[in-house]
Amino acid sequence: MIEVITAGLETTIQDYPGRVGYWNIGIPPSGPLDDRSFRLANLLVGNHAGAAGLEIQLVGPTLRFGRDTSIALTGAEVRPKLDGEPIPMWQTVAVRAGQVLKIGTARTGLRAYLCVNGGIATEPVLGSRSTFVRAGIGGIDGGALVAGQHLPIGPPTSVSPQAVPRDLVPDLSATVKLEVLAGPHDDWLDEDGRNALLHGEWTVQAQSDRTGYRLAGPPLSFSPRAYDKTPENGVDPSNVINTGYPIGGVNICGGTPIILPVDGPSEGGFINPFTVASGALWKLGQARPGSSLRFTLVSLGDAVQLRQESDRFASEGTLEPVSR
Amino acid sequence: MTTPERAEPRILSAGDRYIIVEFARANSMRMNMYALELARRIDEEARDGILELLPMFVSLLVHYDASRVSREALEDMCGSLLRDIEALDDLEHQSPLIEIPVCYGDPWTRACVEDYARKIAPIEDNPTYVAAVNGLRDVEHLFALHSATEHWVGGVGFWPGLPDMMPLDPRSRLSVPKYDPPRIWTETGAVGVGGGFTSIYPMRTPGGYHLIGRTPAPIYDLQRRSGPAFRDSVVLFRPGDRVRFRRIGIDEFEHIENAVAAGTFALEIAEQRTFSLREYESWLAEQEASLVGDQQRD
Repeated sequence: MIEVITAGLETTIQDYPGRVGYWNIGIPPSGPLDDRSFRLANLLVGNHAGAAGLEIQLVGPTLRFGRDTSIALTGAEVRPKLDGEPIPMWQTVAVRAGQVLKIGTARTGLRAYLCVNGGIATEPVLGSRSTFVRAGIGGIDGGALVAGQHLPIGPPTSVSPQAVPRDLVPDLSATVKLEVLAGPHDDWLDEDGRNALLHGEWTVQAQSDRTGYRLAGPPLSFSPRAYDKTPENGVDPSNVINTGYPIGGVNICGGTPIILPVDGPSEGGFINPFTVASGALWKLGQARPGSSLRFTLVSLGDAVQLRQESDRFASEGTLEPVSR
Repeated sequence: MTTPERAEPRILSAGDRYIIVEFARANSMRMNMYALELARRIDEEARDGILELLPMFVSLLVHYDASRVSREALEDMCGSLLRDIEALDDLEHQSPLIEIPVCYGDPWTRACVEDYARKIAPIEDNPTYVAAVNGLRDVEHLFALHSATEHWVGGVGFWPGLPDMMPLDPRSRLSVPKYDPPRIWTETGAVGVGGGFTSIYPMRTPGGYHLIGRTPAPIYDLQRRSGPAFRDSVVLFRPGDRVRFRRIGIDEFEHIENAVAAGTFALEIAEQRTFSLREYESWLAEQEASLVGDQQRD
């Protein structure tokens, strides 16, 4: 068991790839926004990469461990302390029964991940332990962690201490640059509009969260396609007959681009002129409100390769052994 | 007179893990049934790597695992299936009819709208506004029109279990602007109209449709206790379902609400039918001709 002493800002149980198979009834996959960091944290504690762990957003929880175990923290630098002593991130850390882990506030990046050997063993809902807080699905009673809760942990397995080499730990202070592909609705923006989106400087707005990353930046302009349409499409140039949305869609809601993350809506009546490459979405998970964000256009072939590289990074091959 | 359109589907790229098959730029039953038929056939192919299929009005979103199936193979498969579908004489869908009790002009959605008016922006009583912008006599005329037709679920989503439906009878068509800015919350079970569509809010979600009534029937139930109409899902509706709204008063609303709380409420499927596109288009043409006739007489 892990006892929750303080819960942090919004700490949730997530697994990977989350709750897949329910998009057509409006239930999103959820899961970790920075899936690469999450998977590495699991591998560092001897779990399979998708086991349930915690996603920490900005301000971390304080936890007491009920048994001897191994943990790992990855993602945003959160200055974790075990019984008051700093412990490294991106590395397997041994924990003794009764020790208290205090996870601080993210300085660079936004989301950190805590995985524990055995994985978090709450009851899956619709096949996943991931939490979709807005609709109360998964996690514990569909919500974020609450002080006083006890998180069940799976049976222990053997763990070889490992670490992500320092030079491979991602630099989360850099401006987020997101690779995007054209489509499905790129022909709804005119050339100026496409240039504004692809080459403009965007700022992540304060209301951004797991359900939508809202951007502020240059005005967008639309092609005749956006105006020459039947009435049921809607009157705004960004309106279209309701259609399914891809995760990572750059959704144009009125004039505002909203990037759709893993808790975003499954469909709606607004266009997605570009879509973030799936291998680049992890970067969105580390984008802080108020920070700068830019797009870069890539081909399908580039995007497929980017995903392969991302998956390779989030695997055993990245880790190197450490001695105790 | 509606001329049956030839589907000219376009396959749109939507990132490296999705495609959208776009059947048309205008909404129609024909294109929605194409989307449903393609979804069914892709599902039957059971090709490794197809993760999710989302038919929604005149498009089908396909979510696939690029490490198991390539974009090229996926597009070839869709192309081949689309040619098979084009060759069909008629499109059919096994469509269940579900009856949803609705209290039109209810006090709960009125309170929700008044909350918006106080906190966000002034707004008129929604049923009054909807009736007025559609040239109807009064709210009673609106409620009669809305409940007179069956509504066809063109898609489910945006929120868990939230349906978007179009009226089958053209005489019940409405055109309704959406809230700007949208509401931050909507009463659970609210029945809303926006554009030409009707939606039901499964829980307290943001929203932009104008609210004309409320249902006590759950349409989203994680506990799966609400009856056989859910067909073992946590969500009541599927694309291709038909809905009839049965008008009830506040007393019956509260009676049903109590039954839901007690776990004794069970929603049944009212009727199962093979819905034929050809029969529908023929009937639709007659209704639209009589509508034009009415306008000419006026």
